[in-house]
Amino acid sequence: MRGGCVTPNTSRAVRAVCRLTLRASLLASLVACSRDALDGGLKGVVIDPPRDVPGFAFTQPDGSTFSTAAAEGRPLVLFFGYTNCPDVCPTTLADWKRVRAALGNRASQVRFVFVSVDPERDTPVVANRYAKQFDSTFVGVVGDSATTSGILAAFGAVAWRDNVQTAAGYFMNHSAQVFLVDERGRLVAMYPFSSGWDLLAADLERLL
Amino acid sequence: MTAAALKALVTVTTLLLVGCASGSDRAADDPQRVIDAWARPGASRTTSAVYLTITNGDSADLALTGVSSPLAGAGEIHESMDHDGMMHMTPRPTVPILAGETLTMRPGGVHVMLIDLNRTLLAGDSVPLRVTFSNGVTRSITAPVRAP
Repeated sequence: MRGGCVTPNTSRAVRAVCRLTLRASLLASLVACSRDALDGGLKGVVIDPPRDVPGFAFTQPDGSTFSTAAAEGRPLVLFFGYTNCPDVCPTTLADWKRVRAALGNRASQVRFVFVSVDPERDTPVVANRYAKQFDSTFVGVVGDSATTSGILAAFGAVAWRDNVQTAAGYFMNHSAQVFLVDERGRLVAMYPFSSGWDLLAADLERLL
Repeated sequence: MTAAALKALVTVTTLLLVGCASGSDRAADDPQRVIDAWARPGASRTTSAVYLTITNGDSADLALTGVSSPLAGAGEIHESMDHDGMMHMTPRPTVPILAGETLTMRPGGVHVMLIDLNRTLLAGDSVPLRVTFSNGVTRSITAPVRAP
């Protein structure tokens, strides 16, 4: 076991704790959301108070480093997935294209980042190529298992390997929300898988 | 021959072999009809997904039991399921389609996973598919590749 919720062979007990933690966090956020809605705030599931998330560094295919650290004027939109994911991950990244289109010229200020939770199979080249299939400005990254565990924990997200019988080898179960981090490095909202892309676009309009 | 010409030839040949130029089923009078189909783009050696809409116009229940393509090492039917924000995929070896009902696959639900593509699928390409039912009926269709 490699620590955290991301390990491929996480025990049942740890998974249960992960799920409970996630549920508690979701519940707290939902409560915050309803309160924020009264204030006319963001349209996503608001994180109140916003949670500081540390920056994480990833090596890119060209050897340079990509950091998720706060950057002035540049919000971060982040999703955890894996490149052998045929349905949920491509659906999310296709939605990001719509968000970019809705933002027009200002879209270039937003950092859209796909973080692979499958470091065993996804290399930096594979993760980045996957993200850029959807839009050349999207960034796809993968870290070692410690980095993966760390960034998942920072966002209150979880992922683990699911050894079902499949020609694909295995699947990854993973948190499927899109996370929005403001220019100060604070997680301010998240968007469940079934949310419309227009909510994220509207909230980015407010942040930019 | 240029890569573009080769690609065009492959596409045309595929269409001729399958005899169907759209995602719909040509056997319009048959009770089991695939009335819509589309596939996602995907790079060679990676994965893609196909979404089908299948109507069972028969008086008997049946089940979808398989979808395969010569362009992929394997085709598997899965269902994406959302548990409190956690997504996981469950294999669905069979998917019932009751008499008179329609199975509509869509993103975030039941879909066909194409595993180990033997070539890159780009928007505008066509994916030949063989769809198998529990009553022994099979359908050969093509699904257009769309960038949703």
